[in-house]
Amino acid sequence: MGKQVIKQKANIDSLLVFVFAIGIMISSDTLVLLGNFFGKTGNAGFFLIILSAVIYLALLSQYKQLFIFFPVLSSDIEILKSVFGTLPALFPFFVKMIAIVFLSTGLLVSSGFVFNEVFIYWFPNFGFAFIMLGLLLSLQFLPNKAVLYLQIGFAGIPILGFLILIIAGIIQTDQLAHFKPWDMDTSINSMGFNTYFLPLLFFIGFDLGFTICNKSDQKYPGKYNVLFATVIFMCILFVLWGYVSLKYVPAEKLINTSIPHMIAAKNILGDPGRFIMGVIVISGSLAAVHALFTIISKQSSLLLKIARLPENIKVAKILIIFLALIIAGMMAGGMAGEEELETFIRASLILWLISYAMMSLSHMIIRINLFLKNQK
Amino acid sequence: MKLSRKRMILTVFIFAAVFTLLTSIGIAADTNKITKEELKKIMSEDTVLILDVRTGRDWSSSEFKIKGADRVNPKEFNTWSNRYPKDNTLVLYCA
Repeated sequence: MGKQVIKQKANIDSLLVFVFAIGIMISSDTLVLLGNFFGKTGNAGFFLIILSAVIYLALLSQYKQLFIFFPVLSSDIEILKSVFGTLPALFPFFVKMIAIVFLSTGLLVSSGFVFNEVFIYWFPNFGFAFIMLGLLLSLQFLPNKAVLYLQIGFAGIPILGFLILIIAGIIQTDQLAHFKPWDMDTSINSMGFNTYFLPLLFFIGFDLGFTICNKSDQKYPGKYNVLFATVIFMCILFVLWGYVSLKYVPAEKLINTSIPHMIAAKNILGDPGRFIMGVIVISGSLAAVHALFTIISKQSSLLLKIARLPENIKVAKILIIFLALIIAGMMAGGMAGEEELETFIRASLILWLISYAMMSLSHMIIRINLFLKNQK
Repeated sequence: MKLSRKRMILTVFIFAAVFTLLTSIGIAADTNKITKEELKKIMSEDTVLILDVRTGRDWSSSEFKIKGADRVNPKEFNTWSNRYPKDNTLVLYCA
């Protein structure tokens, strides 16, 4: 009976790791980038996405080895503190704070538009965005288990929606195919330097799954396998979504539109496809913002522990309220209408990549130190 | 004590949501608007010009872009305002 309970707990932990890890990956911002990316690259895009997934798998291997070097530690902040000191260790945390402010503003506003245009046309789009923000803030005050388990719904719904659209897109043969794989002659030289690195943005956020289960390796050795599987699963999902997008939407349209995912969904399944994608966008936004709020709340408690201050759950809640007020202020102030918002969002994602690079660098430093130590 | 705190949080949330909803409806109500049916009747006329003044996510997140609309930046009014004949009807499409 005890073994059954332990196995059940491990399964739930694995599911939570998965749903938090994919929170940002299934957001509408990723879908827009994905659509534009495949329009530009065609079949070369499949290769670039797989290459990006391989890079992330290598990064995960480094994460795994880092926690072998530090078996009692359970977070990236603690690892970075051991290697670089306290101040640099705070970088990943502040990156997430920046990301939640700008990314949430964009995602919530986009969801508001989707709700207004797909579901209830008379409902004010910004009203819906504010309601979503209020809901996400309120959820943070629920018991811890409820906060975690809600993410299963928020992330599970978009995955289900994608699978429906992808399967429908693949099995339908009466549609005029715009793209046949391997026919497209895409010159890699014409893609532009930035395009090669774009797929690196698609897998950002895997560390949210890592952080949500902040048990050390001794208590939960399986989390790496879950994260490896998550990256592989999302790579397959992105590739399949790219395939059906190119099959149903001309590449020129995918490049030039700001809503490639909506057009693809509509072309695949008509109005039901639009509704499904509308649900994916709104649920994906809930998943992304809820994951960020939850992780920031958890990590702020960890920061207090690192600073040897008494753990106080109120600090985490006050921080979340403060961030929600900033997001509300930005939405009310019309930030969503500013072109600069996209720049800030992209900058926060690039800073997030830098935080991954810091972990990778930590790994290299420790390996070099061990090598030099062995030489002596 | 625990129950009343939860009730208070729920009350604050509901109040904030209703307030925001009413405010956004109220703000929109002050603007002179034309319905889509009214616009449909007149949009083929030569003297009617549709200007899409949405920017940023207000434009990129929207599925609906009116065919033939000129996209202009509302912050650069002085740049484009003289472009259009004064006796034309300008319909501004905003968020």
